[in-house]
Amino acid sequence: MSKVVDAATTVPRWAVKALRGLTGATDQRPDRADGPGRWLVVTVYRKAEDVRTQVDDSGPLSRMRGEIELTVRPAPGDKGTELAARPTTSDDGQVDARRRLRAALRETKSILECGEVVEPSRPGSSHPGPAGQLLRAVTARAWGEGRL
Amino acid sequence: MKALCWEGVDKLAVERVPDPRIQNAHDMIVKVRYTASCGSDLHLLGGYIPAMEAGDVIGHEFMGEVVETGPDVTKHQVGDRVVVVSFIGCGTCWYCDNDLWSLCDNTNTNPGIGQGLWGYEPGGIFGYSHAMGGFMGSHAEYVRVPFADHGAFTVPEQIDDLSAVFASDGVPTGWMGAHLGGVQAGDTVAVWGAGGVGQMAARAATLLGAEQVIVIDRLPERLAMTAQHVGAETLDYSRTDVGAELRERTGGRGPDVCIEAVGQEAHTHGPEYLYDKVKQQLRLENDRPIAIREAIMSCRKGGSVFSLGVFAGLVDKFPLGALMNKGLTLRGAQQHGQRYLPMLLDRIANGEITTSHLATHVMSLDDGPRGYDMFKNKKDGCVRAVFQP
Repeated sequence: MSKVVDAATTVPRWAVKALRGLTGATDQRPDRADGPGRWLVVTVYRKAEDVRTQVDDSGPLSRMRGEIELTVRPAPGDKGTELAARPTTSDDGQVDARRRLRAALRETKSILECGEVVEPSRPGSSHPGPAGQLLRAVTARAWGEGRL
Repeated sequence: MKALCWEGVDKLAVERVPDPRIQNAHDMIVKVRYTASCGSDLHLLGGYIPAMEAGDVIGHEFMGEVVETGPDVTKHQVGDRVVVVSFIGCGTCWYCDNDLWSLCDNTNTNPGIGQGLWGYEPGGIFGYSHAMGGFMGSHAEYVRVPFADHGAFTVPEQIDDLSAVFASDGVPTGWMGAHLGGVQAGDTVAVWGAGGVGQMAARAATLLGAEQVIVIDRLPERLAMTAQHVGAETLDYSRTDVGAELRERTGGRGPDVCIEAVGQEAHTHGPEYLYDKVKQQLRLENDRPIAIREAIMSCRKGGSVFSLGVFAGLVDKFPLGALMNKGLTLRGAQQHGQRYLPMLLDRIANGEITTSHLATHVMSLDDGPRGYDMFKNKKDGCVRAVFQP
């Protein structure tokens, strides 16, 4: 999945910015330019020890251990475990790092909850047209975008 | 394989597309026997749902035969006759575990789009745009079914294929509107829309104990069908003042529960329709909320309004003052079919719910564009066009 996100960085930034503005999916900015990035959090419907094991042993977050700090804590109301991550250093407003982190958090949650990351239908259309090509630029990034 | 594809606003075509394959371990492949048009498909056709791509296979209400299973599918085998819920649920996240299946956390592959549009993304659905996961639809010879153990249900022998297809979407959607709308024994329930979902919501209200059920539409054939097959009262909004008629029929109180089963392309007469139509065409509002405005205004004080019809974004002139000052409960959802299907299949099997009358036009998938033209323009009394791939 992260390969898809990386490939999408070739899309013109103006187009992505315009689309994100239209959909309200504006990226969050850190509170301080020189501080670490904002915490990104997912709630995983699993016990805290299961989440810790997954994060420590394998998976996309373990591959980012040198770049991020992580916290794991129980969610209220038996909703599972809150898994939070943020870059250890300032990202200077660059969205790519946060996009990779969101993607990794989502992938970790999905693997923990259902054992795999469900894929969209492939191949897609053989003739998406101009609007479809623009949409593909959006969907290539959508796994790493959003309000997470 | 052959498939009916969206090609642009008001453009559909039957094309050759690659066969689906097992992509995830919980997938299975179903050979489609029947696949039904749905009112919400018309919103795709009209260009009111974002994130469609030319060549996308549409369709989300279907039944068929299992022809291949992924390694982690345990409930089904090749040869099983199944009906598949149109929303895809993983079965293991908090939402699925709490029977809120259409809100599944793990089946929308493009969460950034849904979160941008609505704050949080709903789950995935077959054939309903890339904002809803990018899954190819059922108007095709074969369809890939993710998380098949949770979304596919074996059809009991007593139920024929054509009756079973509506258990995929129309029946559970209607049932959910009455159930989560809070219908109680003795209630009066009003349902806007006498299409397949509206009829099923009315039938559900009766089975949940409502004493009086009134269905509102303007098409005489649909109203007649509702009276005959659902046993509900009917009201033709083109011939009367709906609010006044409902007050008269309910002793001046208004309905206890109002269910809106129309959605973003609602119709009415007069300046209100013109206002909404113009604003929608200019994209100054996404949806025409005519029926839900009327439902909120007609509902009794302290009553409940449920939004079953599909809406995509922002609406104008929404009667929030009526909602607040009358103490109404407003709720909506896409269908949580996995929650209801075992019970609903039993009810269809024992004759409590009938569905096959909805299939007014059964035709080959090759006739898909013609079927949608009939369905959209209500030609020849079309309630649902159903396709055989």
